[in-house]
Formats: sequence, structure tokens, C-alpha cells
Amino acid sequence: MREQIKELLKPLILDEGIAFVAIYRIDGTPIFVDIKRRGVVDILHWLEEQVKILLYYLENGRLSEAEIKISSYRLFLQPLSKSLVLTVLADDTISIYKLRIDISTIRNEFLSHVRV
Amino acid sequence: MLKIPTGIFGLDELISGGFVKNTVNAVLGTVGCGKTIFSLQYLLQGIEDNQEAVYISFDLEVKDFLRIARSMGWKLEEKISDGLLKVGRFQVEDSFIDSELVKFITGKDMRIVIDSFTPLVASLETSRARNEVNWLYKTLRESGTALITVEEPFFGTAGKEVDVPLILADCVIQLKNVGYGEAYSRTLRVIKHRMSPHLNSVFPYSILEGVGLVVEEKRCEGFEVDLSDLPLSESTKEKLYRYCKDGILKPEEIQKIRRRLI
Repeated sequence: MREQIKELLKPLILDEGIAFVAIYRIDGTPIFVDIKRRGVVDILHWLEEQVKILLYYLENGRLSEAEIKISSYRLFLQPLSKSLVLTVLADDTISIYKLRIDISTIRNEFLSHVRV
Repeated sequence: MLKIPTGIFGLDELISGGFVKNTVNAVLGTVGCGKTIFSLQYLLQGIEDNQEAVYISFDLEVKDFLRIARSMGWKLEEKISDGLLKVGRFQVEDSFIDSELVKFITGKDMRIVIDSFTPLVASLETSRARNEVNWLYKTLRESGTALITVEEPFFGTAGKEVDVPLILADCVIQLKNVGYGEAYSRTLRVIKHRMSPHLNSVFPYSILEGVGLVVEEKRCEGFEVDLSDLPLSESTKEKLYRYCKDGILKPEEIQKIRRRLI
């Protein structure tokens, strides 16, 4: 399962402008995390609590997706299914247009994997 | 370190071969995550390995225990009458020392399950809880390898009845179920495993009738199997076919599932 997820997230993991890719379950449990830069660990710690709050709003349907700007990074939260949320931290070198397309493609492919 | 297989399909690979012998292992989880089924699989494995198996509950009568096993497709009545499995229901007491419970679990190389351990600790005075649990764990370790289930509160924060058993246990496995029925709705995580390495991650698992808990991780090359003779629902068979094809279950485990059902 983990390998399948890693394969699906490959376009994001290989992108130089992306500092980390994670999938959180709606209760805040990290299901998959790929961190590429040590420097973002501080941001990750800070984000842990913020992510839980955002996931709560995403679960309740008050937010359909979220985007946060933190210093030179942008954090994208995009629901993948009823219970899983994709989280991507990207620096300002990234093409946001390309990133949105990648995330959308991954979301569509992911849906066929999460239904049991 | 001597290890004993847990009986949970896919778990032994995550904890380097199984539970360390003569340890106390805790399964933590909220209502409905599969703690009792986990316990049953652990006992079934013990019976198949010729170990004396003991199940202790403060809630379930023997007939309730057998009913749960039967709902999974496992008939344990004969195991009890053959003396391979002892099932005991106890009243909660304010001290374990010299209690009937301790006499029930005294032996050598046993597989002991206490399901659930939470009422036992809840009845103890806070100041004595740690010492009492420590003493009981020592007795359990001397008698064999124990599995205790600990109830995680659905709402609110946990008290001593959760903290103390987990702090003193040699291994803690957390089961979680968020109830969305998707992949990763049910997850298993090894929080600690003293004296043995373990994998640090969150693993999806499922619960199937006639099978029990299956950790959904590839462990072998995929294979084809014929399950048409098994008394299982079509949806369960479909999942089993997929697990075999994806290498999540091994051929010998299919034989084990078959033996338990027939």
C-alpha cells in the first residue's frame, strides 16, 4: 500500500520545489510523509496543530481546500477522499499552475485506490 | 530474543518476528477497532502451537466469548473441552495479590489474554495502581506471554487506567478506526516494542470474517488460489483473492484460515 502511494505521489516527491509531501487522515494521523529538506521540520512541528484544525474544517465541508503562505513556502491542503487529505509544502520557485494540475491528477488516480 | 508469533496476519513482519517471549503486550484502541478479535487470533495461534491458552474477561461470560468466536467462523467449544483453552470471567477487585485471577494465570509458557485490562486498573486507588500493575505484569511474565487490551476513550482524555498499563507494558500496539470504510480508515501502529526493533509507520489493516485482522502490506509474491469451498461471503472471498494476488497473505496462511473454518 505504502509503495503504491509513493508511486502515485512520485511527481510531487521528485519536484525540486517541493519540501515535503504528506497524506494525513482526517483525525490528524500522518499516513504517509516524505520530507526532503531538514529545514522544514520546524514548520512541520508548527503545522501539526494547524493541520488538525484545517482538517476539521475540511471534514465538515466548510473548506473544500486550503492554501497557506508561510515565509517563503506555500502549504496546500487538498482532500483526496472522505478521510484523507494531501498536504504539500512548496517553495516560491514552484509553478503553482503545474502543482495544481499535478495535485488534481493525483487526486483522481488516488480515488480508485482508497475505496475498499 | 525468543519470539512468539502473534497470529495477526502481517504483524510479525512489523515487529521482527513476533512478541518477545515472557512479556506483556498491550493492544490499545477505541470501541470497534478489533481488540477482541486480535485477542482471539492470538489465542488461536497459541493453541495451534501447543501452548496453553487462557482468556480472561471482566465483562464476557464464556457463552458470550464463544458467540463472538462463532461470529468469526471459529468454533472454540472443543478447544475448551479438550483443555487447550481456559476461559474465565472475573469480578474486579481492589487488589490483585492472592486473588483468584492470579491463581488462574499461574503456569509456564502460557498465552494469556486479559480483555479488557481497563476495568481492572480503574478499580485501583491511584496511589497504588502502578505498583499493583507492575506486580501483576511480573506474574504474567513468569507464566508466559500476555496480551492485554486497553480501552482508549472515545471522547475526552485518558486517565491512569490507560496510562499505567501502557507505560509498564513491553509492547504497545495501537489500533484506530475512523469509520469511513476506505483504505486507511483502520490503521495499526507499533508504539513501542522493548528488546526488539519494530517498523515506525502507520499501516492499514482490515477485519474479515473467518480471517480476523490482516495488515495490508505486501509480504510475498502474489499467487492464485481457489476459495470456492470456504463458508465465507462473496465479498470476503473477493478480498481474500485480492490479498493473495497482491501478496498480502501467504499460501500457508490460506491453509491456516481454511483449517480454522472447517
